[in-house]
Amino acid sequence: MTTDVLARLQRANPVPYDAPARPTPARRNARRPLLVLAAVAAIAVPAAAFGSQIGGLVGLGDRGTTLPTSSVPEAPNMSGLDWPTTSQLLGTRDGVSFYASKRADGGFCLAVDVNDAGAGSMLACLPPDLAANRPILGVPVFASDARLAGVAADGVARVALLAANGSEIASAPVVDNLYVDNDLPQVLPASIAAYDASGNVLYQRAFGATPWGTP
Amino acid sequence: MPATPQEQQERFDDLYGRYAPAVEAYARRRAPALADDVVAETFLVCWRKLDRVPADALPWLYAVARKTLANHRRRERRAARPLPATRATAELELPGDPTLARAWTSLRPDEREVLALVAWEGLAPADAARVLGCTAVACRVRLHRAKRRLARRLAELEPSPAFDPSPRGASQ
Repeated sequence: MTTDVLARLQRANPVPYDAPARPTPARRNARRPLLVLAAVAAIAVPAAAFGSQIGGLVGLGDRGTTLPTSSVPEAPNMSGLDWPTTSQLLGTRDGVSFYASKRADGGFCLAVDVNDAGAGSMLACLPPDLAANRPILGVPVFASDARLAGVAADGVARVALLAANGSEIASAPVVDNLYVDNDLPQVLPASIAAYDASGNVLYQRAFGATPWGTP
Repeated sequence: MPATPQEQQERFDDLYGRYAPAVEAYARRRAPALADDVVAETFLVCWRKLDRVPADALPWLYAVARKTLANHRRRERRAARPLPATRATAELELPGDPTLARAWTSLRPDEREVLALVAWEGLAPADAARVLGCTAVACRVRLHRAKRRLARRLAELEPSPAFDPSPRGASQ
């Protein structure tokens, strides 16, 4: 009878899911998963006053190369993000390509394509309010590989990852609105910060409990 | 030999890719509103303690998720706020079987947990013991008692002829 109870309980499983077989040999995909973020979480630390925002990055006639969105490597995964039909290749640095597009509603979409088989890539669309209030956007730290990469608004000179005690773990200069550091130390960051050329903090966001918070 | 940073990253990626859905299902079965936080915190601990994660990682991850959930509940109790995620109502946890749900909620939390680990997470008693931090023998005993109590409670709620308190059934 007690066995029946267990079977009945199994049938009533509120979240049916077959746990994976374990342990099995490590399986590595040729390409790591694409991370899609429709909107990014709220800013933990409000941005200080800064002259520019990420939403102003695109729409500038001389910024990047305009191309059909269908030619962006991550295009097959863009459904549901209201991605505009054209995007701008903002540039490629250290093996990372950045495609951006500005939606009619003021939202900002970014595709980060890491041109390295086995590395992760990312799609994100910020709603207008966030696009107007944050100066950086990039790959989630430690989501699929340790990399600090993203785009920064005008006025941001450097982006850094900070440990819980405030010490700097890694830092990448912003060149042509792009920043990349492919070689992060194996230390868990507590926050990310953007600085101007004088070293003033323009923006800081704590990752909270998740190591894969989106900068 | 210590793993290189690259190897550590690969192991973490592999663990996350393989087990995150299972950990999420574990959390959703117990506290849907906290599931995302529990998954994130569980894998944060996993990252920090990567060297100590056993080869058979899933019971270890469940144990971390269980502690994380307990911490959340403790914090919420301390804050004296409503506990949307911890309302172990029948409707929330077992929507398809109201009688079983009533019996389920009458069990003690430790009884529910061992039953859930075996019935829903599909763990063997020895693995459930790793999650609960007890010996395999103790886990088997706990499981046996929990099953028996649930069966008794069900029998009370939906009496079968054998349990029917009618004159014939009570003739003994």
